[in-house]
Amino acid sequence: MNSILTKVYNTVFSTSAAGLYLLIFAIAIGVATFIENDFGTSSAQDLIFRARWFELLLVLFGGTIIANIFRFRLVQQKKWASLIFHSAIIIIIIGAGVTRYFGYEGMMHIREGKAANSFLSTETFLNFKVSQSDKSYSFDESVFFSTLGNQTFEGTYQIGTDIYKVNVTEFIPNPKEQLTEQQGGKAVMKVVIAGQQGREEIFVNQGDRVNINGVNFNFTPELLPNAFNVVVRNDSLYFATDAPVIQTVMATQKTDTIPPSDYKPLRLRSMYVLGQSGFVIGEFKASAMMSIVAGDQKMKNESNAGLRMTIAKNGVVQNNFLTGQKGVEGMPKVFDFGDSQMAVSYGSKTVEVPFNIQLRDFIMERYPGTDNPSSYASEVTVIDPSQGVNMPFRIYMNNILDYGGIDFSNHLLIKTKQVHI
Amino acid sequence: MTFFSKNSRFTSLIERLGQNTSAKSIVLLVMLCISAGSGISAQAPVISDVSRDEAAAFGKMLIQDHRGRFKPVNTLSGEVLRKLSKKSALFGLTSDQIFLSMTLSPAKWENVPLIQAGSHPEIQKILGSTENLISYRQFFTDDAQYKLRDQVRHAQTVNPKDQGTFEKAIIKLDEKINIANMIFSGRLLKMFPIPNDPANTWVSPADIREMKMPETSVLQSFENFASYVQDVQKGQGTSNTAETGKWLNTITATQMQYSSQVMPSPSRVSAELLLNSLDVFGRLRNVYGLLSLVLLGFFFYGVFRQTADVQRYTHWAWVLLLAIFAFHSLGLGLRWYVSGRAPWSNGYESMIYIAWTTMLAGLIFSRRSLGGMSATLVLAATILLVAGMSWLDPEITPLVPVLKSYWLTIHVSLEAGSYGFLMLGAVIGMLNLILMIFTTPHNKVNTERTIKELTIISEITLLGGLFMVSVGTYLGGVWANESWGRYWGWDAKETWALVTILVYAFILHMRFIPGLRSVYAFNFASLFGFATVIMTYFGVNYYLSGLHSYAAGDPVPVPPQVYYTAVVLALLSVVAYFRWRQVK
Repeated sequence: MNSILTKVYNTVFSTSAAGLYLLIFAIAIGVATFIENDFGTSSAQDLIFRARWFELLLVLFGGTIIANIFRFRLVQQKKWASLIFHSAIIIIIIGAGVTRYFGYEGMMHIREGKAANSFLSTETFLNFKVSQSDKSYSFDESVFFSTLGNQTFEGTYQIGTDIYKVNVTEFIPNPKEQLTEQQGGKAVMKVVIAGQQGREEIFVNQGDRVNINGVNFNFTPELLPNAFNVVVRNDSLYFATDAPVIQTVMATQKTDTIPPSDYKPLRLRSMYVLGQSGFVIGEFKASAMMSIVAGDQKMKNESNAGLRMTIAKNGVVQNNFLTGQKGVEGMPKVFDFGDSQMAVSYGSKTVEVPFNIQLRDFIMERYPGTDNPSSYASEVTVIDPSQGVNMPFRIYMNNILDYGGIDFSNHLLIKTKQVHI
Repeated sequence: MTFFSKNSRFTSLIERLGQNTSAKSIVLLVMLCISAGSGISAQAPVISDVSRDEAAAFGKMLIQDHRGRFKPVNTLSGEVLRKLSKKSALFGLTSDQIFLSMTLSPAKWENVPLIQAGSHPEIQKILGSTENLISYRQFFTDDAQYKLRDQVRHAQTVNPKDQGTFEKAIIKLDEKINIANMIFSGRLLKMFPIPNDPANTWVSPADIREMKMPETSVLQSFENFASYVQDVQKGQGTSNTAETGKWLNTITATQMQYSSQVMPSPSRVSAELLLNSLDVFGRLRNVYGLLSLVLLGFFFYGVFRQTADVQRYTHWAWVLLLAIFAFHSLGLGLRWYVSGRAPWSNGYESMIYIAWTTMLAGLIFSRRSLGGMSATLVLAATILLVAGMSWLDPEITPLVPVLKSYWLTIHVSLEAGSYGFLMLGAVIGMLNLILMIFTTPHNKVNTERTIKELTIISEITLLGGLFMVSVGTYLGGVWANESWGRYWGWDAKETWALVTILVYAFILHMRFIPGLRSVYAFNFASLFGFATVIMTYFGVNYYLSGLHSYAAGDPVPVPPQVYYTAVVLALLSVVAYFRWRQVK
């Protein structure tokens, strides 16, 4: 028994094994950077940095260092330099473990002149709120979804005598609406405009009347004044207006002015200008359904995530779809069970701290004659009535505020002079 | 500490190096006659309407560049001429003369061939000229249409990744035309402060004309400038420096009046002028290049011809290297003083700094090895050659706020510095593989000894490099905690620095792993391990997005040379493997 243990010890902590760990470690994190680049930080963390096997690898790696410190008698031989260098690695690994399991991170948003006493967690949560006749219960569950890693969640909660079964069945990175042809669907057209954030797509269903960018789209059989009237005839679109419309065929760049008239064939993917606004009807499906599909596979910091959820209360199932993102409080979606409602949101959690931070002034210096910032600083005051503290402080590069066990550093400048710290 | 502790691997290696190396030196007379070619290439003499002295006086004037840095006109004129014609002087005229004359007499200079058009046949066809240098006028048709207009429009819509040589050449050429246009219109001469502007903006004569500045003092100094211009033109041949100097002083006085707080001190300005005139890094590139060839020749001669006693002069070679290194240090120091921050803050600077640490590593560890010195020089020359390529901007640039920290000095100096050390290990590894290929039973004794000696140098260098990159990364974590509020976030650059550390830790621990102890294995690994440094230094910025890539953009394709190099090195190592086994 003892000899087996020795053998295992000698294999697992041998120099060859140490070499292998080093290489696996190097390759794993190298690969992780590429995963991050293509699928976002969350996937890299899920598959590698926060994975169990990676933690095991680090433990084994640390173990081999300790084992070999003894094997090569670094202490006895008084190889102090080498000993310190190698022990430092162990301390770093332990420190990383502590941060991983006990540290937390978040953003405190403070407008200039205002104060704040809460921050938004960087971690994402499913936040639940159950309302039953006169009572309501709130709780949350820390979740981590990613494109390549974990995409589901299951939880069972008992509230009073009711059993709620919560299931996240699908995670959809950067969800977007898409038209798919389907029997028994509706006629839908896609209006493309140049909005403030660039290209915008809006779907208009048959029977809808909507104002898009100053143009009244009327997708009903009724002919309305001051509108872009569209009807379907023989599975194609026709339009009519009471004002002249400029039509430009994209392919040929040929421009015509069409005088007000009765219904005329509408050309897809051609530019129309009515009054001040231009638009393109990008797509038309005579019978289609809207469905939600994944967009870009990469989950960036500001990317939206979509979750398909089912919640069963005592066996009664409700489906819903909710969206949310990192660093922002989620918009709740309500699952209605008649006598009770469960509101669920996905996103950051607000964490309160027992003191206030007031942003008195945010200072940005620029390089002469340019708009390029040369330095930032925040003048803040920590107000903690319970401790009788009223401490002014200047947060700048290399000067972070440490109060109540939390480190504060300047994060970002937002145009409205709102500072994240 | 690892270095100075008595019984570390480091000290024991140094001792072994001492035993291995007998008295060695080399003949080195040939290289004393190296000086940088100052490029006198005046075939078409153009008469400037500005004399050299007046241009030099004007070159000392301060202007504000588009990034908000105040610099002497001399710096700007040098940059501009290098961009336009890849020359530091032209037609026997200084860059100051050309710049000032172009500003004053645009009509004349439009017809002077000074723009390097490149050698792309398509472009030559469009421009209707195969000359190397062509004039601004030649870019326009007779009815003043820009000949490249459509091509530029097209090239700008192409994704950088898909740009061919034609698109790249077009964009580059268009930039040159824009610069020339800005000189002709006087828009680069931002030397007049807007009175009491809180942002300390300085404007050009062209701006003043358009803005109709109400403040008389600015208009006054502009008129002074104009009168100065006329003086210069009148003073052709016998110039009146006292008179022109007086006008220049008026402008300087206006600058001082409004912006004295943000302007650099006169000693800084003169240091910058000295740095420009010394052209330290351009000269060093040539010196390193030539010297490396000579030293390499002597080294191989000494290894393969046992009778030749070239080793005797190694000491002198080292002294010569030390002198050149002092020049390199001077250049770096001047740049530090001029920019007011550590000279490793942008791509160009980090290259010249890495070349400097390479030299440092070579000087410390290869004092008695000709091979080590040759490898050092080859490397330093290559790095400066790469630094001199057009994709790296040698301009001194202001820092983004996050880099304005003393940690930049410490962290980046260690990180970038280690790359020099690790690269030296890679080059020695390559040198050893080459030596292995040329080993014969006849010269076996000598080559084996040399390879062993070089391997020891390489191991010391790598130990130094690993130590630096580890400490640098650790301190980087401390800096990250102060600026981003966390020590480590698996950011792409951080992660690749760690990959580098792990890979080199592996290479240096290979001697403990059965089966990987051979000299061949070590040299092979030290050569290919360097790929991780290349990834950390270039790859991350170009192919991965993250916090450290401050100059992000669309990804750029992997240059084909990278693949060729990889294949050649792989072949080299395979051949070396079999040859070495045969001889052993």
